[in-house]
This record gives sequence, structure tokens and C-alpha cells, in this order.
Amino acid sequence: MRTLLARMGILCVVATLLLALAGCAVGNRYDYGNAIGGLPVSGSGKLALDVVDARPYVLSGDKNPDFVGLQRGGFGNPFDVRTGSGRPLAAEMRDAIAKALQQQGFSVVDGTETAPRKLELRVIEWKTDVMVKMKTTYDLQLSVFDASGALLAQSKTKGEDVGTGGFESGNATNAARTFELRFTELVRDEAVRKALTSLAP
Amino acid sequence: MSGIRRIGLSLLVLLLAGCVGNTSGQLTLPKEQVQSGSYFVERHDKDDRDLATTIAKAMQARGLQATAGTAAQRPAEVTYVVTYVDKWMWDMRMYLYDLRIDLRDARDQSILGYGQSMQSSLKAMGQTHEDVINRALDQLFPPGK
Repeated sequence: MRTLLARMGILCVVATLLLALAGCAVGNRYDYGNAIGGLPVSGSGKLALDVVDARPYVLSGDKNPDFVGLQRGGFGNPFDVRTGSGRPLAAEMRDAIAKALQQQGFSVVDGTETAPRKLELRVIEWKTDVMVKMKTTYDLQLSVFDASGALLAQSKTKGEDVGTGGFESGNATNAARTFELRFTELVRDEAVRKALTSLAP
Repeated sequence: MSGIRRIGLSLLVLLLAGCVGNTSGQLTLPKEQVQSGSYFVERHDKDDRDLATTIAKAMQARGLQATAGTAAQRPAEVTYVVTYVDKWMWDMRMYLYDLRIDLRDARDQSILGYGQSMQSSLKAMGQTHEDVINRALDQLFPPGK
């Protein structure tokens, strides 16, 4: 009888440990599709938009295109975080950028269409990593091309942001805001703004 | 050390790891623009504690021209808009678990910076809303910079 009770006790402790290790860490999703509230540029012409996922681990197939980062359990054990919609990260980022540009007056079309200007965001790295804090590692490159494909302007940002980490909803908000801040920084570049605002209607 | 003790110790470490608080933030505006602009703290619909006014008062104490009100009360000539997300939790009392303050350009709503303060129940004990707001503002407008 005592052996049985001891075994049940161990089972309870192990179950509690498993919950503590993975309870809030499994199946987290961050939505980037509505990440941008406004942009410091306005215009009225047709603008082609493309977001290219160039993350090496996505290109190699090690991670799916909807991978956005890691949520760690109690001992640092990692679980993948995915996009809110389940669509590729590049598609969600494109949605957010397109909505913001349309609010600013641009007529946004697909990146494959011909337009006087094309805006391309290359996501060379974008990964969040959350335990007690949230670390976002990023490497983004924004380019503006004319209708012939000639490069008019380019801005880049690369680094790590460390913010607060908490529950899934708070982490999702912070991840989206970090993207908004970094993308806005790229758009605020004088050459990029000039190339976009010189766009003929 | 027996297996049970080792597991117990690990559980204790996990529980203690929850007694934390941390802050973060950044601002992309130059210092001269921070001081010369006017700020409007936009109160959101669900804020029945009027944190907006408390945030505006804390900003005034830092020498900034700040007012607060609902979106409809926003003055046309304001330079920057301050919004916030407050998350509350219950642990024998309600406490401000997470406060994020965002700073935006009033003309185009583009983001300029943020300050955030997150605290666990134990960390928040004995602290007021003003303490949490000031910690978040310290990240957005670092003292002495």
C-alpha cells in the first residue's frame, strides 16, 4: 500500500513538473497581420509590395514559413511559436504593411505586378525567443525599385531587442509592436521616403 | 540528494522564478523634440481607473506638456499621441501586471517609441499605479537623457 502511495505521489510531482515546463509554452501564436498602426510616409500612386522570407532555416526547410520564434518552458525547453493565421510570416507582414500603406493613400498591388514603384522587404532574420524576457533577433532590408527594376533607395536594420516577457497575448502584442517599430524605422529613412513620395499618381 | 528532493527543489526554483518584474522600452525621437512637443494621452474605453490622467500627470512631472482625455477630446494641434495597454490580474487583490505605453506621431500614427513595465504579484505588492507608470515612463523617457 505504501509503495502504491509513493508511486502515486511521484506521478503527481512529475505531472506538475510537466505542466510547469510546458503549460504556457505550447502552441503559442503571434499575429503580425495588424501590426502597423501608421507609417511616416504618404502618397497616392500604384505601389507594388513584396515581402521575401530569406531566413536561412526557412529556406533550408528546417522550419516552416509560419515559424516566428520560440517560447521556452520552465527549464528553457523550446517550443515553436507560429503566426496567428497559420499563414507564412511573410504573408502576415505583407498584410500589415499593405493596410498601413493603403491608409496613407497608396494603391497597393501584388509584387509581381508592374507599377511605377516597388517596395520589397527582405526578412533575413526575424525570431522571438521568450522565457522571462522576450528577445527579438532581426535583420531586415527595405528596398524601393522603379518600374524598370532599378534600385532607388535602401535601408537596413539589424540587431536584438530585449523586452518584457509574459503570457501569450502580451508577448504577441510586443512581437507585433517590435516589428512595427523596426519597419517604421526603415520607412523613416530619408532616401526611402523620398523614393516613395516622388511616386507619380 | 534523493530524486524526490531534487524534483521538489526544481519546483521551488520554478515557483521563485515567477516572482519577477522587468522593464523595457526605447525612443526614436531626439531629446530636443521630446521637450518641445505636446502630448495627448488617449484614454481607452475599458479604463475605468483613468490611468490616462495619471500617465499625463506623471509626464507633466517630467516637464512635458501633457494632457489626457478620450479620442474625441484630442486637440487638433497636439504633436504626439500616447496610448497604453494595461493588463490586470487577481491575486488576493487586483494588481497591474503589465503596462505598455506607446508613443505615436499625431499626424500619421507612426510609432516613435514605447515603455513597458511588467511585474508579478509579489513584485507588485505595496506598489501603486503611479509606481508602475513611472517605471514604464523611465523606459520611454530615460531620466537624464
